[in-house]
Amino acid sequence: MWSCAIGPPGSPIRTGYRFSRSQLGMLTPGASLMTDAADTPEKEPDARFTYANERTFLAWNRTALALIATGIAATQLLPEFHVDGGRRILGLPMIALGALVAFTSFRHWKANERAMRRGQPLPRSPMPLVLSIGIGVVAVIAVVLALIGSK
Amino acid sequence: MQHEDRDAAEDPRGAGLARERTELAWSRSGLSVAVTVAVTLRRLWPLTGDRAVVALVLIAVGASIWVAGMQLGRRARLVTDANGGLATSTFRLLTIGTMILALAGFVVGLILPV
Repeated sequence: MWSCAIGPPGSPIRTGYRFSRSQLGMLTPGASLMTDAADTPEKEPDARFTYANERTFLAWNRTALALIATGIAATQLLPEFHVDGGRRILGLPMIALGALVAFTSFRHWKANERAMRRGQPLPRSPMPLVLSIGIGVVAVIAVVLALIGSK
Repeated sequence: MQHEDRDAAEDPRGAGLARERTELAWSRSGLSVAVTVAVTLRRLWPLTGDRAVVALVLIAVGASIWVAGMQLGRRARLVTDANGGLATSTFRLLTIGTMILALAGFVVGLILPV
């Protein structure tokens, strides 16, 4: 059994995150499923999965842009807090998190592309967890700053 | 069941719809870039009087360039790659552009008086 996280609606990949070797072979006809990366020949993956990988990259990139835009808006457009540099404390981590998300989304797209070409399981990304923790931390900072109050 | 899945995988309509969704995703990403640039410039360039007109013209020109670029990219994708995949350099370029925006936002947040 293999693990996977992408796929269009209705495909065997989408209905469950685990699927068998025979199903993998069906999705990429003729693909070799050897797990040794050095010996695994690369095959062109199904176009739909290439597109799905591309859309996933774009979705992560938009998340990064949203974090950056929100961070800039926080530093520039919010009223002043009683805490010195409060807006920067709130906004700059979001911008940094946005840059991190942008960088890792490219690496993850590349790793997914390679895995699909080799018929290997898709690599797991730590970014959903990192993003959740990052947004949670920023939310806590925002609550603290809001409780202290604005000038 | 496996036969149905095999048929679905080989159905060109599925790939066509996937391509359309991907093109829409690129459009949304373009809009996100435009919003991020606008928010970054908002503080640097306060829009009042004639400046607002200039900004609107710039937005219209930028949108036209974006639409033209999307159409050119769509044609290039159809002609050059039967599988529909874009070159790694395209993804790298978007990533670098996003990181430059992040750097610009960091500089704006640190340097400009708030």
